[in-house]
Amino acid sequence: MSLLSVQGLSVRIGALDILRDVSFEMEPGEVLGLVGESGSGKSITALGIMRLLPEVMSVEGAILLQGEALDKLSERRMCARRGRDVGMVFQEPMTALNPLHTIGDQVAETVRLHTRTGRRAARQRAREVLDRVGLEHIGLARFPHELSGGQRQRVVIACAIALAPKLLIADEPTTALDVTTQGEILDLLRRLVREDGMGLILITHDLAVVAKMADRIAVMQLGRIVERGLVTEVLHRPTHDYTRALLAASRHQPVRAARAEAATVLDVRDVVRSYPGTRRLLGRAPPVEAVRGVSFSLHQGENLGLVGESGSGKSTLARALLGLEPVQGGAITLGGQVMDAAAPRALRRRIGVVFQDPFGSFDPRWTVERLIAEPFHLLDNAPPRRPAVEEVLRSVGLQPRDADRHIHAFSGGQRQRIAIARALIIRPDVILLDEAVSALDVQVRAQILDLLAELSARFEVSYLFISHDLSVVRAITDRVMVMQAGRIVESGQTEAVFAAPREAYTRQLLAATPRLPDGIAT
Amino acid sequence: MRARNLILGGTLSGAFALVALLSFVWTPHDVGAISIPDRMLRPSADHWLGTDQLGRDIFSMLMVGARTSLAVALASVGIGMGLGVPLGLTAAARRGGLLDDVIMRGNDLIFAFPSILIAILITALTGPSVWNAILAIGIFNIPVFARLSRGAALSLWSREYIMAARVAGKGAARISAEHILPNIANLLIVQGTIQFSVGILVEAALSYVGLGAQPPLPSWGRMLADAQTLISLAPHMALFPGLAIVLSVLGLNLMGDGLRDAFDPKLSRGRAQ
Repeated sequence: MSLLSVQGLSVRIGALDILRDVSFEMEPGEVLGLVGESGSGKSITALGIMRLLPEVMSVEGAILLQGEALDKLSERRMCARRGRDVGMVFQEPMTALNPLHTIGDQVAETVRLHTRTGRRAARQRAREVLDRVGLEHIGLARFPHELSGGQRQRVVIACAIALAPKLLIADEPTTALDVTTQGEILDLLRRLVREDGMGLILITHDLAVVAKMADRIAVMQLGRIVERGLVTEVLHRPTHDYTRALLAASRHQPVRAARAEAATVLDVRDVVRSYPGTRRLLGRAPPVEAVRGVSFSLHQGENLGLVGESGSGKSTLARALLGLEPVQGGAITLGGQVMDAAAPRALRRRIGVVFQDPFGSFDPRWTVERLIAEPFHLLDNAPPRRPAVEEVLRSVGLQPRDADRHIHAFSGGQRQRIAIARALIIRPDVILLDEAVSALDVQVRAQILDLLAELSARFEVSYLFISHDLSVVRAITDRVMVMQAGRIVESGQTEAVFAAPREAYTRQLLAATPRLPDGIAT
Repeated sequence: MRARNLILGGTLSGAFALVALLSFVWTPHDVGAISIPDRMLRPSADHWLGTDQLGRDIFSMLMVGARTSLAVALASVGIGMGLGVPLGLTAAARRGGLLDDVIMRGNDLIFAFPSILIAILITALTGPSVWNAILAIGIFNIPVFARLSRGAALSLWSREYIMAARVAGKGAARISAEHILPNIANLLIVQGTIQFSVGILVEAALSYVGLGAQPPLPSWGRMLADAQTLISLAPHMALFPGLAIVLSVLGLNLMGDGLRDAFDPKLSRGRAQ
């Protein structure tokens, strides 16, 4: 008997089909990778199995867990299954834990909810489970905010596996984590599956993660499973066009022309950025140094990558480069002039920026025309707004009439095009791209990378590409710098660094990055 | 029906505003006309809500009283918003700095005073009048709006579109005016409605103790005070001004709640994602 059998699962809101006839089987101990872009119905499938869909959705189809029909159970009996027979791990470890309860209480609560266990026994069980997920040195009395993102995700996993469920559903469990932490969490999940023989449904948008983790794969598009099979077979011999497109996009390398050595536009020398320590009863704590003596230069038309994990000081450095915050040591020169918090507008216009979040980086009340033309504030004689906006919209592959719409009318990829247009409209020498494609689906990401490569060649603009995603940096940059704890620990030609990293930290980052196996079909 | 509060509150508040405006051109009787023989009449076809102890028409007095109440509340909310919002936005723009501390501690200081007592003190020192009532109520609206706008602005200052505006070289004042104020306007309107109703209550209280609008200008609070000693003889004299206060405050509060729901994107249906 199979562990889980989903038969003809369909979900509808009114006349709108969200899931159409989703069916699959899972054996105990099997890892199923559920892959697709946003809106493909991956998470809806997971919530459907857990019977956690909102009431407005009408659900059809059968869900059998070891032969028992979950869809026929009363809500009360379903509650008894959730957490005991089926565990779930969510994407955001920040919000999946209650900030007011200790981690020991939260794990013990799962145990006490489903079994007749005394308080003491439950705490003992919590200790055992936390030890199993690699938190031996973390006390039960710690609160979520005292832990790092990776540790929190381990607590969430501990809650999910406390009662040794038969099935574990992990919805993008590592998307919010750094690459080395992601590697650790994936290793942990694989070990738990092997030891307990439970089934794991791993929901992800990242084919490389599936290649590393899963036995079988199901590719979802627009609420349907379009292709399924053994991971090795599907990745090497995809039969469906959509799978091929996803694979191609994941490995996409924009075509970029080689460049001759050119003049330096941005020069950074020994820059130090420190924050005053927190106030204490008497005096202050010692200052926190976020950037400790960083030096590099960026040439005209060059694409330079800056990689590092969260907390490495990348974003702090970015704010200093933009002249938003003062530096405490060293100097930033842009086109020969000193860039600092008091820089004049004429200098500021030489650097533009594209942020990560396609949803938060636009004022929702402004039209696209006004949004894109905002940097005109930096010009003394701004050209007529409308023609300039229409031209730059065409450059980034949008329609001139889009200028009249508001930002909510656009998808994530389109918003990122608008963000690029906003940076480009005053023709800066340098555009700083702060995780600019990290929030995008693979196919959209490939398109945006192509666009960036094209614009760089056309307008001779230099990019400083800040990202934690090594594969993206590898695809688009000429040179790369690796940042750790406020210092640049390694830098060099991108291919050279990726092929033969010198520093241990770089090697660690590269080893942790999931990669699609070589020789797969494209 | 989420719009029920808004419709009910808006209708009530609108009716009071209409009556107040109408009183400029027409009232059933002259509010100043004293007629001792007609004193304390019960409601009738001629005097819809009866007359008071001097024979004045209560309905007409309520109409003119609405004018006083609304004018005082409106002006005091105007003072509170006009000074409080810029102070709050400034504090948010200079968050963590000395100016932020100075502004917000100043606010705390005003908050720490019992507002009605200070209002009484101001009117007692400078003499009772409508203007002093406006000033007294207005001062206590300042910290309300300053705190609200600072809190809302702070959460916006960390948004990436504000960062983008800073990269575009815009200063704090310009960003506050162009990006922040329009995005917190809905909160301010809702709070304005609530403070408006508070203003009506405080004005009534001040007039009740004789420190608000002065005779012969009718006001709801003083009508209640006049009716107090005659409550057993002419209960209608207390009933109708009381109802006017309750209904106008209720209407404004309902409207505030309704506006908050209408502005809150989390509650609105059919939102993408």
